Amino acid sequence: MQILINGTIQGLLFALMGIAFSLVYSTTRVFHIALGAIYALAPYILLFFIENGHGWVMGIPAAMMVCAIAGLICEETLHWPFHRKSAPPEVHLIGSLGMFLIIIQLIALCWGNDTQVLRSGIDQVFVIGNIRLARAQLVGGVISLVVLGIFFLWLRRSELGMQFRAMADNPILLSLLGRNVRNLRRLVFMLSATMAAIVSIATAFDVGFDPHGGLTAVLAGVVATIMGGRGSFLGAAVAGVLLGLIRSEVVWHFSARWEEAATFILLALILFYRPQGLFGRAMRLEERP
Amino acid sequence: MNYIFHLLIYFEIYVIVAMSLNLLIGYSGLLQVAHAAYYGIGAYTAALLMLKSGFSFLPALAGAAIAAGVMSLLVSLPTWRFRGDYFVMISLAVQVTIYAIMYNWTDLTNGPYGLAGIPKPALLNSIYATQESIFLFYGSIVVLLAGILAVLKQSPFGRSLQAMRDDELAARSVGLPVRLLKIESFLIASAMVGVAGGMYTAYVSYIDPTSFTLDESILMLSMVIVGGTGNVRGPIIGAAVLIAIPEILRFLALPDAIAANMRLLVYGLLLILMMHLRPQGLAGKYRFE
Amino acid sequence: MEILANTIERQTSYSDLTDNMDNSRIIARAECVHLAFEGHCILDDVSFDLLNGKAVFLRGDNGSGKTTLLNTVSGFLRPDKGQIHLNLNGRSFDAVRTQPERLARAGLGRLWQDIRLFPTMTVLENVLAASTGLIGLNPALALAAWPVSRHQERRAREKALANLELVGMADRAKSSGDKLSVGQMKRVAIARMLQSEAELMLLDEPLAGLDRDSVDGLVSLLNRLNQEQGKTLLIVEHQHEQMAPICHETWYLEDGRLFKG
Repeated sequence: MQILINGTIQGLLFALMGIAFSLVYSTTRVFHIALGAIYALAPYILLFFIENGHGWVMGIPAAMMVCAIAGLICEETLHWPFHRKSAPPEVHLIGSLGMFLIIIQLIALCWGNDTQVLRSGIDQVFVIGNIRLARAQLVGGVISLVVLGIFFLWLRRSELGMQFRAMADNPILLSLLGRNVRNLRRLVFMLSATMAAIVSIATAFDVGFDPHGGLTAVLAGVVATIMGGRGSFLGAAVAGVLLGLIRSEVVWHFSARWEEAATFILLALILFYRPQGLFGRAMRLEERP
Repeated sequence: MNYIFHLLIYFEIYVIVAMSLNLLIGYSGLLQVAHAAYYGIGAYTAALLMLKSGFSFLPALAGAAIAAGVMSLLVSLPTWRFRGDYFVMISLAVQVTIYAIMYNWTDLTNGPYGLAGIPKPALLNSIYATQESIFLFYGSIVVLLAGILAVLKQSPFGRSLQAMRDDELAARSVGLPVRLLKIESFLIASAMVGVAGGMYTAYVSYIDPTSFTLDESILMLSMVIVGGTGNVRGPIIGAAVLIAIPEILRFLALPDAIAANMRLLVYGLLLILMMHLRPQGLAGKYRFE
Repeated sequence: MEILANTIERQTSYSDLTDNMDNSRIIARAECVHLAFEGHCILDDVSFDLLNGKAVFLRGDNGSGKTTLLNTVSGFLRPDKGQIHLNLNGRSFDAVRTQPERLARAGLGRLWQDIRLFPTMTVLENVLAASTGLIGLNPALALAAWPVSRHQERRAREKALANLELVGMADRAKSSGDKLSVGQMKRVAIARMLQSEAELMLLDEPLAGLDRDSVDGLVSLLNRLNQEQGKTLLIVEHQHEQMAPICHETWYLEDGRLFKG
């Protein structure tokens, strides 16, 4: 049971990461690997605020804002210009890789390569029945759940949400709406960055952080997106939770070393048996993966 | 003078890496970010064969090529069908997973402590201990591999790769066995970079997982992007630039700790610049609309 | 190196596919082909027999499923129901279960609606790419049997030039694939089909984007391919009365249903 809960909480974080990646990928078809760097950035901003006496209350929103701006920079300097030139996906990808490198190295230059923590000492532990949860875990799980909930409600109920869904369904069609798309894209990049920041900070409270943690996080987001099916946000979320559960089981039954391998094998299985993902639609000939 | 040879040997190794990646990206149109993983598999295989099984250098290189090639088959056989984005995502997962295996399978690889005391390169009974002799020996390997690639590129195989890269659907409609072509080019490229890994191992005598990370894969990608794809000069220019940049940074008297980060930062910038200015570094695919 | 499923020879409907007289040989047979996509029925109970050596004109409005039909016949799309059998160069194929490249190698040619020449290759290279039976396609053999491979290349090159001559593009052999007019590109694409020894040619809107003179030239070329070379043509067009005269039959595709005219 403990494993299930651990896995679910981890899975919720993955789910949010999956949404963050899927937000950009489904709507713009951009392989936003720089998201991993934005993820890595968040706790450092928070650290900066804490160390300068401003505390979390200011620090967390500040971190989210800085990340949102970073996401916006990616769109404005890379993906929108490339999109205007009708660049193939490889160009977007490589640009994103370059940005990934730049941001991570800037972090390392400013703050060093070592692991840092946001709190010192042992974390407070809550005991519910025979399940033990660290405070950071609990907080992370709850926050993810809330954000996911808000996101899906918004997706279904609001005007903007419907536009997002339309964009995810058929980006080309929506681009005929012109001006609107530019702002939608900006919003998408900023929203995605903010979500990644939330996941990152929650994780940072739990286990600390370093400049290179963004990679596994964005990979989880990528895998959740593929597993869930392109164009499906619900799919990415469900897949994220599944991913967390399975990894948790793997750690328990085998060892922590094989966590990453488990991710890959799961991805391979899905791609083999159901390439359109859990919730994906069948695709036209030219769209097939 | 010794130092010049040191740089030249690295240059030779990187030329092979660049040539192999060029075959994959420039000629076959298969973008991936896991090349360093195959390089690492080649390196570890050669090291283990020489250390634990008493292989001499050339057989160890052969073993390295085979190991890297087999790994490529494990990846390409289930995933050949996937288009660009998905293929890259999978390669990301492969890179991370193989790194995790190198890091965690301590029984085999010694994990983060790496393998030391790897013998210098040798041919039959003569051991190449001096920089100059290694340089010449490796140079002949480079020439041999370059020759092989040249023959392949002129052959129907090479032409079919080009066709496949240009338009996979059309290639299939004229009867080109796309699945087989992808698997074969992936095999050749991976085996070749595995050989480069073995050469690296024998030269530096000590390897650990940190030389085979995603960052390294991105650097390899940068070589091909900066140097230009699809031709002969490209890999040479790309490898030369890769060698030159850290030297320039060192010349600017940057402390070593910063130098590593600065190097990656410069590469990130280069990638982005190339995508903006000369995206036809990805030969044939980019068309200005 | 046969990777995929082999031919299915047990089906009883094959008995009439291998007739004695070549002219009444059925080169393609579709039976009750059904394909729906996202709730829309694109092909509805489509059946036909395409005889060897015939030129068939397939008409229908935009979106009536003509290209989809070509996609299923050439193996790119799998129908939900129904069967498609091909008899190419004496061998039988189940188009529903066979990879398109295998069908292409067997003798099925395709002219795409958007032509799809290889943009980074010259006209000659484009045609050469479609050559069949070259051992150099296998990298190991390209290296080990280099002299043989080179010899085969030379022969393939001669054949390519001959095919370009046939379509009237021999003088542009060295041109880059993307510097041609639409009509010229289509001719090169046809030469490509000839290079791969296509017996059955599926042509998707061959006259689209051509001016008046080019239309006449292309129609006459197609006619020659059919009459002189004995190629079977299935031509999809949604207008163009010029096509009807050179075709033996006209079929209509309307709302996914096929009618013989």
